[in-house]
Amino acid sequence: MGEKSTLKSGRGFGEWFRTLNRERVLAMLHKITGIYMVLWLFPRPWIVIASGHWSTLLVFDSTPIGKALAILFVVFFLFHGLNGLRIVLIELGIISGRPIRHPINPVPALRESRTHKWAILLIITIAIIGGIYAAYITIFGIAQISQLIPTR
Amino acid sequence: MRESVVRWVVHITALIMAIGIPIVIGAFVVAHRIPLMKLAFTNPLLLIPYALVYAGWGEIWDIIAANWVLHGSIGIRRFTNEFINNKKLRRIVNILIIIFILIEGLAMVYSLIAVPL
Repeated sequence: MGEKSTLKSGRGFGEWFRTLNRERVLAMLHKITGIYMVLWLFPRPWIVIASGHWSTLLVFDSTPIGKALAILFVVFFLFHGLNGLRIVLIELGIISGRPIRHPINPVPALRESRTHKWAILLIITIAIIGGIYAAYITIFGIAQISQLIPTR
Repeated sequence: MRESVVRWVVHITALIMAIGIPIVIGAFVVAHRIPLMKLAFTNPLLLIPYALVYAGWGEIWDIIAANWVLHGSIGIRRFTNEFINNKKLRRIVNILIIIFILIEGLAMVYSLIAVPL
């Protein structure tokens, strides 16, 4: 056998939009939010090390652009966390149930349970309410450490 | 490493973050006697990481941050693998991801422990 690849993936972004249903849209949003969080978070230690103190980032995070980027991070973090929890619960067979082996009839392994529907509804509700609240406190909330911790 | 093991690492790091973040914030609030109403109206980014670094809790936050790096790096690996359909190239990307985890993880830990506010 030669080295010719038999991998079926490798289609990149095209695969994300090939078929759109609720599960695939959630998966697509999970990836987009994850990429944003990595891009927002991973350069930060390098900026801190290069500048020699954390206050450089704190000053940037207090600017309108910094706050806008931070709001996106906080909202995306909320969605990514909730959807990630749903994925873990599905993979552990807690909210979607384990596949049923029927001797005659084919039963879809990825059938949807009522618990799963409620979980999705709960995620959407918490993401919307929590997202608005998180965005609000990111803009208008306490932004001075001295106001939060008076003494070291 | 088998893909099922990588999947477990993703799950475990996610769960450590999901459970660890509330525990660290809760302990910090109790230790510094921050009123809950004040906490509810605090910019979340002020608390993480600035307040934690300011109060000398950088080492504690490092546990979560290291998980964050591991989880995010495996996410990058998964994302890049969607563009590669060559086994050799995937192996190279896997090695690069491991190197990236080590460098980024060390930078994250160092910045939280050694760099002052």
